[in-house]
Amino acid sequence: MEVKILSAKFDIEDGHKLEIAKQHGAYATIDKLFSMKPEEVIEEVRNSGLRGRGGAGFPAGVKWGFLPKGTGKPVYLAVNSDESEPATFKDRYILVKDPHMMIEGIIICSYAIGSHDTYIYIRGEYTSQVKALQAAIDEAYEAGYLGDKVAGHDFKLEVTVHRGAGAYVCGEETGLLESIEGKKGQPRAKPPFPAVAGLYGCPTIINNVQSIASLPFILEKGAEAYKVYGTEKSSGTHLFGISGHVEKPGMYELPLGLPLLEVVEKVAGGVWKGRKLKGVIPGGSSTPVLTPEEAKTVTLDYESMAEHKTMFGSGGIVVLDETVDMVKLVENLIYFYHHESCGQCTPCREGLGWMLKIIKKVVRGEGEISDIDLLSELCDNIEMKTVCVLSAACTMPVRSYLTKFRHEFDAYVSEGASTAEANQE
Amino acid sequence: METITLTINGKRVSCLEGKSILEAAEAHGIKIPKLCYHHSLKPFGACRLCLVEDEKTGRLFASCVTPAAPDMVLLSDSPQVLKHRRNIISLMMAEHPESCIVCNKGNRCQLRMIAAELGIGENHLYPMPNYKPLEQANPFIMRDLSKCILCGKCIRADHELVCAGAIDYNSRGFDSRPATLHELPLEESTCTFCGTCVSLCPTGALSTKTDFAGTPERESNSVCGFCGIGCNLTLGIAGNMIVDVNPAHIENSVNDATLCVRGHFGHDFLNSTQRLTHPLARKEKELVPVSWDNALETTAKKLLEIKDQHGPESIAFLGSSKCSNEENYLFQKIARTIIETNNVDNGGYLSGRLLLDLAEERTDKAGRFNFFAGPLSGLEQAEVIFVLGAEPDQAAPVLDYYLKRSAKKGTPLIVANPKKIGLTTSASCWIHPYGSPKPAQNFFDTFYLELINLISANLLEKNAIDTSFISRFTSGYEEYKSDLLSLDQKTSVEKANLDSRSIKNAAETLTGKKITFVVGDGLMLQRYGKEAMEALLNLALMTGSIGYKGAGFHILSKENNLVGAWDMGTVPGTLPGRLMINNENDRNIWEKAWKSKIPQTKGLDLYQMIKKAEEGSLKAIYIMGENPLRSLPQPNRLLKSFESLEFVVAQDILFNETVNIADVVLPGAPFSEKAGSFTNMEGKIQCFSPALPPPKNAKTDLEILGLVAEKMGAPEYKSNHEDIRKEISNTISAYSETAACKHPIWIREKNQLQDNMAEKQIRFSPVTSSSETVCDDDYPFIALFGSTRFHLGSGTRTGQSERINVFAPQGEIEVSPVDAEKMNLIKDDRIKVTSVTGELERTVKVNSNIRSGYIHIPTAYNHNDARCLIQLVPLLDADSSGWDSCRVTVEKV
Amino acid sequence: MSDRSQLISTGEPFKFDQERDTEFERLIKRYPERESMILPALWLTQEQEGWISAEAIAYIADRIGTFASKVFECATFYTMYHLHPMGKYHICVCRTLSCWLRDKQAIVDYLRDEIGIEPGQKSEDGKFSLEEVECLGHCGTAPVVQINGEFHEEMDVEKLTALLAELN
Repeated sequence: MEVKILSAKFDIEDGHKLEIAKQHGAYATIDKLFSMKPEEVIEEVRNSGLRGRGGAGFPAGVKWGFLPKGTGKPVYLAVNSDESEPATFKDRYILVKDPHMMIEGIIICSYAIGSHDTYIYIRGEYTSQVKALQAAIDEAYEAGYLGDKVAGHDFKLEVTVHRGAGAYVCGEETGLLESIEGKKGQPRAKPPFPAVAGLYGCPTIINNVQSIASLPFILEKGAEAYKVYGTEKSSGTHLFGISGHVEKPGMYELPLGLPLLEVVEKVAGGVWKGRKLKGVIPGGSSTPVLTPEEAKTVTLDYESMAEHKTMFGSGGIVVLDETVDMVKLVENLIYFYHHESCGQCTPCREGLGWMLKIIKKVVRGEGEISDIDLLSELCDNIEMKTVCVLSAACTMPVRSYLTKFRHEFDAYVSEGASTAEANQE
Repeated sequence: METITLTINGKRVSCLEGKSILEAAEAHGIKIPKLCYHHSLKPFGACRLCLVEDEKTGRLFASCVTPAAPDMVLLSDSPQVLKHRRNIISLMMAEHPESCIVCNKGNRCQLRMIAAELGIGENHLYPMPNYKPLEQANPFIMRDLSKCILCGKCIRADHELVCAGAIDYNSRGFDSRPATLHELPLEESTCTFCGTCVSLCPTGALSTKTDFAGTPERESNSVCGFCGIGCNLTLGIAGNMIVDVNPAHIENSVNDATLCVRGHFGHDFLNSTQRLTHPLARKEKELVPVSWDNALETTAKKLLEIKDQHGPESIAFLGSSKCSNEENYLFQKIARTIIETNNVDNGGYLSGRLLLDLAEERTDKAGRFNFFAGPLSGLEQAEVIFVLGAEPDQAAPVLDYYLKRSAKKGTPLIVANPKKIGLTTSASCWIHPYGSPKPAQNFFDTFYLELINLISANLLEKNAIDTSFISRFTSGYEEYKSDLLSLDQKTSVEKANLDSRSIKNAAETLTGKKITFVVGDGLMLQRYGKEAMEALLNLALMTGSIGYKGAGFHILSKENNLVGAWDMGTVPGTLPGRLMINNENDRNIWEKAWKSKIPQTKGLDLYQMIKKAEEGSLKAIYIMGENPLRSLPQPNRLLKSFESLEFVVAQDILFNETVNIADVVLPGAPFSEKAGSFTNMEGKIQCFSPALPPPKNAKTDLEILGLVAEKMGAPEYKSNHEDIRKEISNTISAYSETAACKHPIWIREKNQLQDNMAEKQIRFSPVTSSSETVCDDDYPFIALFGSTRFHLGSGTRTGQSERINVFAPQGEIEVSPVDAEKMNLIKDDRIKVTSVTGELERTVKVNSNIRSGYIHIPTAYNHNDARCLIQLVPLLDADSSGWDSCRVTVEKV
Repeated sequence: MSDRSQLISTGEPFKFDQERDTEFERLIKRYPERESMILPALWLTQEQEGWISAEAIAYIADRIGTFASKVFECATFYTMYHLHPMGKYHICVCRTLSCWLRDKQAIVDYLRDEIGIEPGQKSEDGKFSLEEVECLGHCGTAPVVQINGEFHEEMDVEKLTALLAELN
C-alpha cells in the first residue's frame, strides 16, 4: 500500500546531505522552474490538486492566487513547521531525512509567488531537527541554491529558520506570524487574511512543510503524474503518522483514499496485543473520534472524513484499544488545549478553564449529571465564537466523545471514580 | 472612499468602506455591548461580546474587527447572539470576586452594567474567583487583578497611546494577566502613572486610589490648568469636591484618551487646606481676615493714592500665564486705562516668552500661526522631528506621547539635549556634548547655538535647501549663506564639545525634509537662547519648514495659558491681539475700543519691575495668579525687593510664598470653579465652564477684577466672561469666533496662512557665533535644572497635591556614577550644592544617564530651592548665565 | 515549569559571548524589524546560560531597542524558556495523547521515585529537573522523553534505568 514520493530518499544513507541528495535528483527542477513563468508554476500546482497538508486542506495553488498584485510591498513565504498537533509527527521526517526536497520546494514556491524571503517556523522542541535543517540550509547557501542568485539565475532568496519555543497556538497561521514578529503568538482577527496583510503587514503565504516538499515532484513530473495518486478531489500522497495502540506505529507514506481500517490492519499491524478496537482518531487530536462501526466505512481522504462528520486533519491516526478510559482521555485533551490557549479571547480562555475544572471534578468522582451537560453546553458556547480555531480544536473532539461514549461519563457520575475505572480494566 | 450600505436589525445603515460593523452600527445609534473595544485603540476582538449574527448564514462576526461589507444582513440581538453574550458574561462573572458593593468602580463598572442589561442574575456556573493580591502601595493606582477580565485595554493603551512599556501580558491562557516587568509593583516599573489605563479599565481591576468610594454624583468637562497642552478633562464631582479626573470624551481633543500623572492625580491640590477662602489684609504685620468690601476698598484706594503720589509708572501689574484669557484681558485693561501704565507682565516671562517675542517680530507680519506648527496631531504627518532642549516626558507628557508614537511609526526623530531624556531611546539621533565640562569654560551654553549653526552649514554644503521657499517668502538669504559658508566649523565643534559625526548624521536625517521643531526651556533659557532661536528660525527658513502642514515650531509651554496671556496683552510691549504699544495705528485701535488713552511707551517687564523696586521707584504691585517668590531666581533678593514696596496685592487660590508678604490677599478661583478660556501651546482656544462654585468666600478672578475696577470708579468694567469674550472678539481677529462659542469647549485650529505669506518677507538674520566665556574655576560642576513629571513649574500647586507629595517628596539630585565614586556618594547621601548666588542641600541619587561633570537638580521641590543657585539676570543680557544651568560646587555633607 | 511569573536576578551583568554575539548580528540582518529578534535572542541566552535571568531580559531589550516588558512577555508566554536554572539534566516527559496511551505515567512515576522529585521540581543536588510537557511530536515512537533536548524514544522503565545509570 505504501508509495514513495515524498519519502523516496528517506531510506538512502546520508540522503539529507546535499551531495547524496543531488545524486538522487535534488534540485533537478530548478532550471525547468526558471524557464517557466511564475503563473505557469501556479497553474501547474493548482492543476495537481495539492491541498494544504497542515490540517485545513485548502488547495495550495488557489491560496497563492489570493496574493494581491502590485502592492509595492515585499511578499513573504512562511513555512509552517510547527507540527504541534498531538499525534502529528510527519514533517520532521522531511526536515531530517530530506531537507533539500523542502528547500527545493521553497525555491519553487518563492519563484511562483515572487517572494525573496522565507521564514521557516520550526517548533522549539525539535532541537536536533533544527540543527539538521540549518545544516542543510547552510549547504544550500554554499552551493548557491540560496542567496543572491539562486542556482545562477537572477533570483534572490533568503531562507531563515525561526525557532518557536513551546506554543501550540503558533501553528495557527497568524499566531505563527506574530511569533516571527517577536510577539506572543496571539492569532489575529481575520480579515485581513495573511495573503493580503501578513508578516510585517505585507502579503504572505503560509504553507506546511509537507505541502512545500510536494512541489518538486509536481514540477518535475507534472500535475497529472501527481494526480495518479489519491482520489479525484484528494489527490496525491500523504505522510500518515499512525500511533497509539497498534503493533507497528510509525510514519507511512500512502496515497489518499485508502480504507482506514485496512491501513491500520495491513500497514500498522492492527490493534496491539490482540485487543479489540474502541475507536480511531483520524487526523490528530482535534478531529472527532470514530467508533469502530464508523471506522469501517471511512477512507483516508478529505471527502470521506467530512461525510463521517470528522476531519482528515494532519493525517495523524490514533488507534484506541478497548482499555482506553474515554473520560480520562478527554481530560488529557482538555488539559492540552487549556494549556495551549493563548488567553486572548474570553470564550477560549475562560471556557477551556471551565471545561478543565469540570472534567477534573468528574474524574475525581465528584461530578453530577448536570456537569456533563454543562460540559457539552460549554462546547457549544465556545465553538466558532473565538478569534481562532484553537478552542474548536478542543470542543469538536470533546463533543464527539461526549456523544459517542456518553455512558462512560455517566458511569463516573453514578458509580464513582474507582468503580468506573475498574470497569475499564 | 466609497460608501457602502448594509442592514443591521432590519435598519439600512451606510458607512465608509473600511469601517467596522461596530462603527457603522454605533454611528446609527445601534448599541452593541463591548468590553475590549475603545475607539482610540486598535480593535482587538478579544472579549467577543460584540458578536453579531449574519442573518443568512447564522455565522457570528466580532463586529469590532470585521469590516462592514456591502449587503451584509446582520442581527445584533438575535437569540443566538444574546445566548452567546450571556455565556461570555457568565464566564467572566464566575471568575469575578463578589465585591461589587465595596468596589471603587461602583456603578461605572462596565461588566456590571452589561450583566444587568443582559439580565444575568444568579450564575449557573458556580463561582470560582481567581484571587490575586491587591496592589495599592502607590498613592495613585489601585490594582486588583482579581477583577481583571483581560480586555487588554491597559496594555494596548500603554503601547499604543502613551508608549511607556510598563505593562504587558505575563504567561498565557487562563493564567495570563497584565504584568509589569518581573511582576514588580508599578512604582518600580517604567509606569509614569499617567492613569490612562485606569480611565480605560472597564472593571475595578484598575481604579484611582482615593478615599472616595462609589460613583461621582455628576461629571463636568473642563480644560486642565497645568501645562501648555490643555488636555480636556472630565471632572467627577461628589458634594463640593472633585473626586475623580478622567480624560474627556471629546472628538479631536488634544489628549484623546490620555492624561499625565499631574492631570489625572494631581488635582487633589484643589481640596488642599491651603486654599484661600477669605480676603485677608495686613494689620500689624499679620494677615487677618477682612470683609470683601474692606479688601477691595483698600486695594483701590491704595493703588490710586500711589498713582497720584508717584505717578502711574510706580505701579506694576503681574498677570498670569495660568489665569484665563478673559481675566488677563481685563487685568491689563485696568492697568492700562485706569492706572494708565504699561507695566504689565505675566509669568510667561520665565518660560522664554521674550524669545518668542523676538521670533514673532521676524515672522509676525507673515502671521504668527505660520511660525507655530499648529495642532500636535500634525506630528503624525511630520517628515522629521527635531527636539531641542525640551524634556517632554517630564514637562508635557502628552506631547511626549505624540513624539513617541510618531517615532514608533518611523518618523525620524533627532534629540539635542545634554541629558539622556526619556525620548532619547526613541530617537534616531541624539546630539549631546561629549566629555566632561572643561575647567573654567562654560562651554555648555554654546551647545545649542553651535549645533544649529553646524547643522545649517552642513545642509547648505549638501545644497539641501528649499530654493523656492527662500525666493518666495524670505529676504537676506545671500548674506546668511555667505555667513554660514565662512563659519569655522572646526572651532564650533570644539567650542561646544560636539562630535562632528552626530552633526553629519543629523544633517543627513534632515536632508530634503520639512522640519518640525519642538523647542523647550533648555534652549530658550540659555545665555545664547536668543541667538539659538534666531539660528533655528534661519534653519527653518532655509529648509522651507514654515507654513507647511505639520512643520514649524512647537514651543513647549509649561504654562497652560502662556500663549493666551501673551495674546491678551498682559505684556509690557503689546496690546491684546499682539498690537504694538509703540505703533500709533495699533494703539488707536484699542483706544477707540476702550474709549480711553493708552500710555505710549513700553512698560516694565518682570525683571525690570524687580530692578525698579530695588531702586525704589516702583511702589506697588498687583499680582494675579503668580508666585514670583517661588518661581524666580534668587528668592532672597526678590523678597527684599518686594518687602521694600509700599503695597502688594496678591490675588490667588493658595496660600503661598508671595501671598505671605502681600498687604492685601484676594481669594480667587481655579479653572474648575469659573468660566473662561485658555489658549494652549498649539494656538487652540478652549472654553470651560465651572464645575463647582468657589469655596466659602472666594470669588472668581473676573468678578474680583470687576469689583476692584468698580472701587476705582469704573463700574462699567464689571462684566461676565461672555461680555469680555465679545469685547475681545470684536477687535482680535484670531479670537473672533470665541464669542460665538455656545458649547463649553470651542476649538480654534491653526490658520493656514500660506497665501498671506507673500505679502511680507521674512528676513534671515545674520549668523552669530558664541564667544567662549571664561568662568570661575572654583565651580567645577554644571548643574542642569529640570522639571519632573510630578510637578509643574515651581510646584506652587502640585506641591499641595497630597498624592504627589506622598509619592515624590524629595527631588533627589542626580549625579553620574563616576562622580559618585569620586566623592564616595551612595543613594540617599546628602550633598551641598553651592553656586555664586546661593546653596542648597538635598539627598542624592546615582544615575547612569548623567555624565561626569554634570548634576541634575529637579526643580519645584523644597519651595523650589533650586532657584537659589541661579542668578537673576535677564536672559538677553550679555553676562547672563541663563536660567537652565549654572556652575556649582558639590560636596558631601 | 512551576512559577513563570517572576524572574530571578543573578546580580551579575549579562552579555552574549563572542559566538552568540556573532550569531545575533547575523540573524538581526535577516529581519526587517528588530523586534523579531526577541525569540532568537532568548534562545541564544538559554543556549549560553541554560536559563534566562532578569539581567538577560534587560540586556536583550536594550540590544534590540524595545521595552523590557515585551521581552518578559515573550519569555513567559513561550513555555520552553527557562526562567530559573534547571538541573544539569533537564528531563521532559511527554504527557499528551499518544504517549499517554502508551503509559507515559509509568515513566513519570519511575522518575519521581528514582530521582525523588515531582514534575516541576529540581533535585537538591541540582543534577536533575523534571517536567511534564505537551506533545513532542514523536507519537509513533511513544512514550518519549527528552533530556537536554535529545530525544529518547519508545521508552520503558528498563531503558530508563539504563539511561539514568549512564547519566549518573
